Amino acid sequence: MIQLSVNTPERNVFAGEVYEVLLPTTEGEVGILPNHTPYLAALKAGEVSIRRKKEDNNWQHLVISLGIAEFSDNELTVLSRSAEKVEEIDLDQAKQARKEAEELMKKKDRLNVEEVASLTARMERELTRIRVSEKYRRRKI
Amino acid sequence: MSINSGKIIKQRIKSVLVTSKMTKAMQMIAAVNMRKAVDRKVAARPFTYAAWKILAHLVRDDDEAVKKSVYLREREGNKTLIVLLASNRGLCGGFHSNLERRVRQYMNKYEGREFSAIVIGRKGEKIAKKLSIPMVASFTNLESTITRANRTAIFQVMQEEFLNKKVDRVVIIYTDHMNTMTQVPRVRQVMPLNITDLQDILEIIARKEGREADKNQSKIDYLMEPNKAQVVDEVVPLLIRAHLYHALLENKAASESARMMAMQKATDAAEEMVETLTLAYNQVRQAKITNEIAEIAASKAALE
Repeated sequence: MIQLSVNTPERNVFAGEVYEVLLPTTEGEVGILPNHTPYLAALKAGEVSIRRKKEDNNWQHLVISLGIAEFSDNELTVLSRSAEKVEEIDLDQAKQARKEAEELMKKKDRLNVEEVASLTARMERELTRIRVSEKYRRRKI
Repeated sequence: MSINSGKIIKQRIKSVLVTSKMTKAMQMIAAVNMRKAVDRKVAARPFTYAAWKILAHLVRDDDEAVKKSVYLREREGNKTLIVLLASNRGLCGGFHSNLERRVRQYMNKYEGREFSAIVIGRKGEKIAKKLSIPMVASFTNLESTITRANRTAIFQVMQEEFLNKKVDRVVIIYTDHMNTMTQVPRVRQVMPLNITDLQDILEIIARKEGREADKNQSKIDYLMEPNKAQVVDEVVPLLIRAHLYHALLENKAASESARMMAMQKATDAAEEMVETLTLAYNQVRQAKITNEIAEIAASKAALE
């Protein structure tokens, strides 16, 4: 089994024993199973999928942004700027937030450096959240 | 003593009491805010440790990796960007004057360097103006919530200045929260990331937690994707962000505990003042009564 821990600067988002983890590396999706060779990879924004048992088809999904994954001694550490469980995301709120950020961005000429920087960050973040959360919402229905 | 002095003293007692209630409330709010910041600080540690461990593996005994990474290689130039963490409000004792002294000290130490600043907090703006450091950006609206978006915004400005070679290094000047009584202003270079500095910080954290920092780790041969250089350039910004976050929280905790102490002193002083004033009031009242009795006695004596 793999000891998985997913951390953001704010908090630990996931900690526990799992069987398989799919990671969104910059080179594509990579699956990690127990006794994988020591591994270090850059991650892009996307989803981390987890299942707890071999015969389990019930995958759990986390949305992450840029980060890194390290695997050694059956311990997998995922570090990302942000990470959320899909079920934690409030889709309407995410959409609303993105729309607001977009509206503000239209007035870009009138904004200063600080404002443009925070808006870009917010838009990127909300976009990933919306994408992944919509995907699983559809599947459920 | 005038007839009115009793009344005047009574008014003053009332106003001092109101002030002391206010300072007491501010003290308690500061205490709550401080505790929150400290809790978040503790929650942030696993991330910093994990990121640090990965980086330590990558750069150990390997000058090539350090030389190759834009985030780790020292540059020659003398342009320095100061990220100055202050607070939005005053009423926190010597917090900002200590900070200002530290900035001045740093600038004197590296005389001849060209400084610019990103300031966080209105009081930081004041310091930068006073020391005539040109401001690249000023964030004055994010003291109460150190949110991810706010942090990303600060980080992006830092990164842009550094990667576009507008500056040769970036330092964070903030106040470290050692405990409620002690706050120490510190200067940390974050771009390029200074490995020794980082080790220093981790040791301070370890000391705060009352244990030894683990230094020796066994060598692991990682399979790296896409390649070592890119992995290093992914980990280091994460660490720099964690660094910034940590500094923001330390600074928050430090400013709040400074405020708490200042307000406690103010409350104590107010209470003392109420005591002195009450004594004065009683004396005046006593004098007035004595006076009245004397008058009555005198008039009675005149009648007899």
